[in-house]
Amino acid sequence: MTDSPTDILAAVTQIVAEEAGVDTALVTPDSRFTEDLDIDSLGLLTIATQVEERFGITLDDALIPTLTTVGALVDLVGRNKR
Amino acid sequence: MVTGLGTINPLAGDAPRTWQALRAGQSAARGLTADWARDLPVRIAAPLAVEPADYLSAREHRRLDRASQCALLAAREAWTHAGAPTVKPERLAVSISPGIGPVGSVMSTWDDLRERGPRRVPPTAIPALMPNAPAAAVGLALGAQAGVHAPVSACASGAEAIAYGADLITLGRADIVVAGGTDASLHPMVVAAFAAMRALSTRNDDPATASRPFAPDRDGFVLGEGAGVLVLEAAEHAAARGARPLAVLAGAAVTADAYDAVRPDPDGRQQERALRLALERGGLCPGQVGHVNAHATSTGVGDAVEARVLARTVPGAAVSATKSATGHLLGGAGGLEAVLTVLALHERWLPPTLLPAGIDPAITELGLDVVGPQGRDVPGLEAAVSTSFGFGGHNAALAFTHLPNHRDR
Repeated sequence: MTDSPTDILAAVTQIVAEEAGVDTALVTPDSRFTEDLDIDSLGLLTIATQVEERFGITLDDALIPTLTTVGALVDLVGRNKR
Repeated sequence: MVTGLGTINPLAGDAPRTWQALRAGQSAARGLTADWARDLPVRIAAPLAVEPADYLSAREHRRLDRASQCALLAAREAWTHAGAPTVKPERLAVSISPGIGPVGSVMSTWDDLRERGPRRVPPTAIPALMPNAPAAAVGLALGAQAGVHAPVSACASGAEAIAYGADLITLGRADIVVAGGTDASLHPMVVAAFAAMRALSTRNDDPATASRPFAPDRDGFVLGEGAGVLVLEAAEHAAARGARPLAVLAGAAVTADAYDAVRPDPDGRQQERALRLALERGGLCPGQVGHVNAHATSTGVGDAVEARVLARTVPGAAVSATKSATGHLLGGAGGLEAVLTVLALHERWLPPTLLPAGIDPAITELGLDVVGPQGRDVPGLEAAVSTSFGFGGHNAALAFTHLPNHRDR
């Protein structure tokens, strides 16, 4: 099964919103994990783990802490899907 | 000084309602109806009276083990009760201990690993399951930078954490310490393990009267869950901010039997020494102690040893065994019972011991004055002690006094 960039954004948005405890409408590609969504390092790891499960991929552990925005995570997922 | 207190426990979700339930003579023990309890030899327990989820954010509830949830809720109540004091973060410490620890998270993480594989173990598992997780959660919530501690000593843990908190203030290492105990281990593994020790009551058909400390036919404790937390504050700090203290933690002591892995030393020598040391450090003589909130779990051996120790060490004190109403909260017990001891002093009313079968004649013979099911007014109460005696001979005693009328302590 292939996921379009829109599918990836929708799924990541859903996972991020759940971890942040906010409505999905408040999560955009520009949303910053720390400043805008109050997501800490453990929250980011939790999101990454769920994203990995959802898409059947393995993200580079070294890259996860460097992700600052939702869009950056979507891009990373997209690159891993190829 | 004790300037705040809080609890969540099987009787109620806060301190005032807990006190009301004690005054009403309620018992929190009930039958376990969950599927997991069906095949256990013990199918009674004292679960929390309220669900922590109703009082926590979704993230707190998701991230924190139930033991940590209890600690956080009790600490929040205590902090608010103390007037949410302004204190330098570097002068604020936490000392909150479990006896068993966040066992629900340990077991669920193991389930994740076995059922879904190593990649599905959540990244939040370790911060949830470590023994100091409850203290860490409270430290993070309050911004405590003077240190976050969790001295663990079986069922004496909560009391030992409070004793340690008092030391931090006495040593000048903190102005305020949020101190207490917590546990929430109503998990089939824990029930089965305590049942294997023959430590739990098997009165499955009569849960409300199963916890019967000092009774002739006591047959073990009823496992409960919850937390009790005190705000301890240096007298000068409390005075400077105009706080109205509830009581004074005059003296505290910890000893160990070094006798057996489980059973207490039958002579109770180290239990007695903990009690005497706490009084000595508080500048109190035994005759001043009007009330003891006993550890009294309703095990055969434990109650007998403690009764002898209390009868010979503080013969004039009236003794309440509040576990008859609350069940045994393990690490939470020392915290909750410290809260109840402070309230007894403050209200000058001694909480009841539910005695459905009366008192063991061997205990009556000692002359122990057990407070009955009605509770008791004690207008002149000046000093009260809470004892906590854990498996393996871990002993802790906390001596509280009414606010000094004519001199500062």
